[in-house]
Amino acid sequence: MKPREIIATAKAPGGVELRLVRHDNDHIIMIDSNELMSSRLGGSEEALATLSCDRLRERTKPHLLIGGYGMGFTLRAALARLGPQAKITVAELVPEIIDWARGPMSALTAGCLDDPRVRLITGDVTADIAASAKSYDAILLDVDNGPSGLTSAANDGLYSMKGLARAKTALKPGGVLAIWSAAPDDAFTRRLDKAGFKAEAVTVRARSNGKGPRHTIWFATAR
Amino acid sequence: MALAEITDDNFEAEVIQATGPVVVDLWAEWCGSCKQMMPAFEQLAGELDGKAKLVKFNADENPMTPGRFGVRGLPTLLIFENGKLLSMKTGAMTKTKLAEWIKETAPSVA
Repeated sequence: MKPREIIATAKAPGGVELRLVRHDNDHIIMIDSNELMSSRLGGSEEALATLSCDRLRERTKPHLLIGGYGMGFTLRAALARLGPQAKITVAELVPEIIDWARGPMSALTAGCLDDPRVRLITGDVTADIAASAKSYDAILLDVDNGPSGLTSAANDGLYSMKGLARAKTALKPGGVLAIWSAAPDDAFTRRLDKAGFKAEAVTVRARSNGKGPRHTIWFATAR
Repeated sequence: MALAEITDDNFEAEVIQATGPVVVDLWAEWCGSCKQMMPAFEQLAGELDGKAKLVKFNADENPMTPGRFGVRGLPTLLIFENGKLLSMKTGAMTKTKLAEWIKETAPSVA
């Protein structure tokens, strides 16, 4: 069995340590003994992008906000699906995640951060949502492990009633709020409804070949 | 404190040829994290008045300078002293962290 090698560490706000681990040809970002993300498993993050873009087909110049970057599966899938007039703002909280994407994981990154349609914010996506009004055709959130996350209590700012109200304000009319989660959460579906969204929870598989663990994506539009 | 807005046109005169430390905050209208950090940056500008010059730079309206320094995300902060780039950081910072970083990078500010 090939050993796992820690190649970098970073402190996320709140003091949580993220570790970038290389295993064979794959990269894994870990918190303690939990795998937060892996370069082997990007299927559901890609689905977050493709299923969102499918809902924006009639918009010629869609503007997406993606938070966070992670390993970039969502960004690359959105870039592949959208035309040259699209614009994607990416917000990633941890600067080292971007350094890793441009450094040890550059083969996986495949230049997506330098695509002219992309602009990068190194900061909390919550701040970008709060500062926006009728700005985005879609907001794609893949922050932490979903509404019941592992890394940051501050993510409540995104998934609470207040956070959902801010997201609603930041969306253009008919815009889509898409939220990735490692697990289903009926209470969160009800919260979306209470916050004035018509929400659909879709189960997707972690691997792009349709196999692997099941993840959940909510697609919500303001009623 | 209202800060000077630097552009591609006056960057050379206001930053490179300035005497003493200059901290440049590259921001854009679409960057919520930039706007969130701005009050702390402005407050610090007042506190460091006379020791360091803190200025704003709209990266969207002035594309030449960000390209020159390889800026690839916002917010980005640059510290110059006597025409030399001493340090560059990308990512929103609290006022405390920002002050620490400036003082570590340009000891004359401390």
